[in-house]
Amino acid sequence: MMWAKIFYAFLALLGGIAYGLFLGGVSRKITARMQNRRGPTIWQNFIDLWKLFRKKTAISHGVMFYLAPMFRLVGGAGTFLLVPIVVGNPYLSNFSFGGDLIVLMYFMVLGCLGMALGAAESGHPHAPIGVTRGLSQMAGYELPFVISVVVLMIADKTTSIEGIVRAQQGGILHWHIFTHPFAAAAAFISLLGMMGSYPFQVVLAPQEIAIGPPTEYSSTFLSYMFSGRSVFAVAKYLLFMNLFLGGASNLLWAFVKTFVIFLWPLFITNVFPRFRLEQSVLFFWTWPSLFGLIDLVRIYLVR
Amino acid sequence: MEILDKLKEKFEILQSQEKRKDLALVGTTEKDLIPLLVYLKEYEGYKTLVMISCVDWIEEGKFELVYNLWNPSKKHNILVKTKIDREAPKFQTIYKIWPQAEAYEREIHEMFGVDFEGNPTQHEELILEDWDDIPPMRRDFDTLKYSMEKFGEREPKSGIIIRKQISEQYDEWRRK
Amino acid sequence: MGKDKNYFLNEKPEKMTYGGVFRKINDWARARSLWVVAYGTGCGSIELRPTFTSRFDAERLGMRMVGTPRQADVLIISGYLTVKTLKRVIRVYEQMQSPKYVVALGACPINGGMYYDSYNAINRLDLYLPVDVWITGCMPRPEAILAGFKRLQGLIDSGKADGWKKYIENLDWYRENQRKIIKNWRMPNYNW
Repeated sequence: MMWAKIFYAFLALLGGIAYGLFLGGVSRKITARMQNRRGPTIWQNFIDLWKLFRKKTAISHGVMFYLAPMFRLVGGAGTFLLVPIVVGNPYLSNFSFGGDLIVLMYFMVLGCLGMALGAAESGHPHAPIGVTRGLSQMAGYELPFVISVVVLMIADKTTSIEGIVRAQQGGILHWHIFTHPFAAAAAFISLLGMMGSYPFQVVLAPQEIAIGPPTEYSSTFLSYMFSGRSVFAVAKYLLFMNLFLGGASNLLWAFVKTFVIFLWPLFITNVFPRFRLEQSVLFFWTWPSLFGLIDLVRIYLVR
Repeated sequence: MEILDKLKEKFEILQSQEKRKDLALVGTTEKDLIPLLVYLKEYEGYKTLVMISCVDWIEEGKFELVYNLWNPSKKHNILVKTKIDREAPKFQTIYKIWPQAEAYEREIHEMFGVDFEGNPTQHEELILEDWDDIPPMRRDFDTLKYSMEKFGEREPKSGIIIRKQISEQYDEWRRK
Repeated sequence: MGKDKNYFLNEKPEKMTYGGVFRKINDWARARSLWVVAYGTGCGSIELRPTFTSRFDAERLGMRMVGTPRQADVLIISGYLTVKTLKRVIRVYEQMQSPKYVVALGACPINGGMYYDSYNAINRLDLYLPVDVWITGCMPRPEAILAGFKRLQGLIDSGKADGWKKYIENLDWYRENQRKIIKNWRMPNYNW
């Protein structure tokens, strides 16, 4: 049974990477249509990934430089494997054991941390600037996200994702997005920061610091980071689906709900200009955190 | 033009002309130039140095430095000129009067070889890195010959552009 | 390290084994995912902006601008090259990872164009860098640039765009030409 579980989780991981790349292509297409142009095919990211994977690599800056893309990939894949896709289905719940929300939040930081170490070793001046910005930005969006997750944990008296999904069963109005709207708002705003979507796009910042942390990364390194980022995005969509949209009863529902969540940062990205770093962090520490606190107080009062 | 009359009283003016309603031209000696610039800046309101340029009068054996000043309140330009010796071109820097003159003087030093005494950065290269010939804006510098020698022929003599394949060129080079 | 030390890189980078089972797929993917390093050397870079934005939309061919040479596939020489710029261009080109392609825009890199008698614009680019596609015009319009990129895609698809291999094979020849005009190379070292 254990081996079968590992096998199915591995299959799901491959599917997650493919789905993430597909969503990336869709986002490029939608962005193009919003800018009144034709845009690349939706399979463009697969082509890019293959090309990057087969390019030559002749750069070395030390051990951490090699390990950082792996950290990124492992961080993304680990997050993905801890989130159940369909709760209750033995083939599609990955390795989600009880009490895993806290482990999960640790795992979500791992990729950023490895990236920070590797980029700092690459020696390019843009990389440490990007890393500093990324870590400060993380300190910004983690606060509202953790508050809203704590609200859900207290409300459902469990730290397991499966428990939270089970608590939302029985109709659309039992979903946490309706029962705890403020906490959901806080989490969905912090999702914008996690995805690096545009008002909070301070890490890559193409106009200022080239592309920030991965400036020195090329070819195969970049392809690992690319797939890590894709699967990490899918993991986050799945997590938000499980926490706020009542989970999924089958694969089709999982696709539909994650696609809806995927559209939210995409549409915000395409219509907004960019914050500076301190504006971005300050924003996360005021409005979304306030929303989260409102629900936290409400939970205590209702109880 | 009253400003020209004023200047004629105070300084030695070799040449003066009213070009347009908003542009006048004054030629003066090497010695009087800096007092004239200071007078224009401090007393007449020509606060801005627009640019410095240099003209090569090769027949006379002179370089002519042209200082272009701008009076923002009267909306009037004035060109102040002086001629210096071409053989050993040397002049006093004016970067203490207008700091932006430093870059213009650096460029003139690079392009014409005029030595501005007291300018701290004029020996640094501005756009010509590792220049190995006489300054290129002098009129006795043959730019076409230099280009042909350094960067190669533009096209074969026949007039029809027949480009050799790169591989043939490698072979030729290897045989040498 | 002294300031005036010559930093010409003389050792050749190792050759890449090109071919094998995936060769066709590789060429197909490379042709459809050209990332262009955002570096403009002359007046032609003004034509690249409409090419890459909404009006002409080069992204539908799979092309993208990237901000760093490490991730780029294509270097566009957009117009005249002075000696000072040529140093930087060589540096950018060598920092790009193989396979890499060079596209030259306009008349100036071909034979000097209107700057053929200039004292610091080079006359022929292919003495210093291997060029895969030339696009003529002064400057070429975005349509011409797109046509040039279609041609580059065709060359890559059929495996003929091998300027980067020639550069490594004939590095001595290129180095000698570069040394003729770049007297003193004072730049930090880099690996390629």
